[in-house]
Amino acid sequence: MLQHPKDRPNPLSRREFLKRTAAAGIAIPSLAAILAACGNSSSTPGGGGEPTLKLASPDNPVTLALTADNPAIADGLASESGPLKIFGYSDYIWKKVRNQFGDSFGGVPVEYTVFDTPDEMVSKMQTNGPDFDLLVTVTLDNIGKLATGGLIQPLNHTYLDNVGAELWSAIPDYYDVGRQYSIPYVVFTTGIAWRNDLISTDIGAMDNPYDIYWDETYKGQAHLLNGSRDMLAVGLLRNGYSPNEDDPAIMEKVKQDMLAGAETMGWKFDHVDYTELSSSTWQVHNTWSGQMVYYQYYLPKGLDITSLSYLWPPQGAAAKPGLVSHDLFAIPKGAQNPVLAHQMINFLYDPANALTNYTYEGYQPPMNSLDVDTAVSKGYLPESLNYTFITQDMLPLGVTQLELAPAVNQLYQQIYQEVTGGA
Amino acid sequence: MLKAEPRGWFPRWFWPSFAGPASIWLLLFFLLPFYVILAVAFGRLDQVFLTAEPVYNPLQWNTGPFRDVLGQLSDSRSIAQLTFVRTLGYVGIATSLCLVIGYPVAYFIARHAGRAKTFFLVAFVAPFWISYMMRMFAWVNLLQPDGYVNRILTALHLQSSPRLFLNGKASTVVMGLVYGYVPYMILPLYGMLDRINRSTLEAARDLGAGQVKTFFRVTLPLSRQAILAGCVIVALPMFGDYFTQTLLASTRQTAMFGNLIVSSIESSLVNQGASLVIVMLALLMIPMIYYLRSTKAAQEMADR
Repeated sequence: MLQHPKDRPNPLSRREFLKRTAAAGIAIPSLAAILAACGNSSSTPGGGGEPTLKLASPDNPVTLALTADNPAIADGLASESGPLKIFGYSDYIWKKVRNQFGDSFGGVPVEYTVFDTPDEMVSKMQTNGPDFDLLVTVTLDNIGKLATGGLIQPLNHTYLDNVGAELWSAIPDYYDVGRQYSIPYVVFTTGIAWRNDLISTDIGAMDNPYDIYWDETYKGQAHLLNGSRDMLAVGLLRNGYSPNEDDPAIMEKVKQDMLAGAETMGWKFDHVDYTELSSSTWQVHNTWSGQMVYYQYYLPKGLDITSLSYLWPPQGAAAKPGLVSHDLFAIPKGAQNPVLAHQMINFLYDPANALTNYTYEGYQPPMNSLDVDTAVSKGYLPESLNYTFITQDMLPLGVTQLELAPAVNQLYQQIYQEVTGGA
Repeated sequence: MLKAEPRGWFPRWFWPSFAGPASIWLLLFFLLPFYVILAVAFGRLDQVFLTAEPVYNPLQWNTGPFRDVLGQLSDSRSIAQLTFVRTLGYVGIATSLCLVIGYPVAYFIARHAGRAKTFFLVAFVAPFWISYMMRMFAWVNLLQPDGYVNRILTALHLQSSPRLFLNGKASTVVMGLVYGYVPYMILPLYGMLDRINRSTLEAARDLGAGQVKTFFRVTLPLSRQAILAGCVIVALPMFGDYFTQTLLASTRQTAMFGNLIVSSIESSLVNQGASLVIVMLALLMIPMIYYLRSTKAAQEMADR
């Protein structure tokens, strides 16, 4: 509505302006103080001084510090009444197995909260860590952060007798010497999956299997895993470098290689290859061995599981390096049900429970009693994919992604953004 | 002109207090979160967890990441400028298509649907009660090589072999954006077109204007504000959209500005991500201010 100038409110007087400015001047620092009080002002929730993160590697094993204010639980405690709150990737422990655990411990309820990425997990652990009792699928490059930052508690191995009996001796512990804070959950390789009915190239026989992602015959048909480490590992390994490379000159060279690939090949970046490869939308994928079991559930009519192949490059004719790793269990500091959490880890190391879980979960537990013949004969793994099964003697053939220094981590992220555009 | 509300016995603060809930809402859910974004953009990075360490005191702000972002946006080779320009293009095309599709639909419902007006409105809007994510997932299935879209196009001999819609095609992303946002264009257009006084149109016809001339000289100018509102309502969220691209393409060639922001915020580049949010917000203020000024001018014109 048009107002007559006389009807309009008076413009701000000088006095009023000064008054409001002064009020704003007072309000902003107050707001800042309130927000600062609400925020996490320290990166050391466990108390103490500024933490320093030691970067672990096989050549530089790290014993994570134990502190007086963060002890492991005592021996011989009774189970809590729950509910046991698990925080992990979607479906990483089958609901049936969770229910079986609950039934075994007097009907204790088990709740499962999902995170999508390791970064999200770390972020939620910083703000809501004590809300959870058991952390599933911690990647190796995060365990040091969680322990150094005082977000997880030491484990009491007296509750973990199944682990002692079943865990592969070949699984390294350089990231947590003595497994004070973590226990391996699943083991996996990262390799190349493809539709052998659509791709004529014998990828296993190639001099450098990673070249398949740059082969323009498959332009618009190739897929890489999203996430800076996995995506860049393809370029680094293709060019003969470590997946933990930190030389900026080498990283620049690899970046140019990846940019060329992204431009010419039109790579797609995600980790739901089992739906895409099965439906022929894409034909060659970088993927994790644990995903291969999922493919059979997404196959369209008329397509047999034998149409899918998987190569871990160390097993190809040229024996190129390939990634192998494992995810970990950990227990948050301040967990309300730490005894139950220990018992759940132990429960999942019971051979029968582990096998049941593997049926659904697809990722393989590193356990002595599980072998490929059992997995295939009991129908847990399609026979045509039996070579995706990992054995202890394969571990030394692979290379593992290690924790990076903060500046190197940011360099990886920057290159990842340039190559993917954030896609 | 409406008479002002009688003051009566009410105290001076009574009527202004009605704005209280909205003011508190805005303070809590817009201004405070926005200040947190500023505190992240100008804050630090936790050197252990590589997560954001917001700095709430402006005197301690670090402007480095923000300056980096501005530098990247002015560099024609940077991914930031590339995705920004691409997003601008996608949003421009998708908004135009929403208008081209939405205007006739709104016109039909407002002027020619008769008693079935409500039915058409509900029928049109009902599919959009389903979540955006689910609708996009549906498109993933429809657009697959053996999906219904390809089957129909092949059956109609419009193509000899399945088209790979999901293999990083810009057209697929734009189509997804149009599909996702077109109702938000139709509703304001319908609201305005439905309110146009028929006697105005009859006057134009009485003065010798044909149907086409009446439309271009009367209906279209009268719906200008609704067109502008629809464009703003559709374009602003589209600019920050990242999900459509992620589901329907997920390639470097199709990545949008929203993808860059999400990717930054989910990584150790979180300060940069928050800076990108501020830049995007500042740029989106331009069409918003234009819209507000235009609305005000139109209102003043109408009141004369």
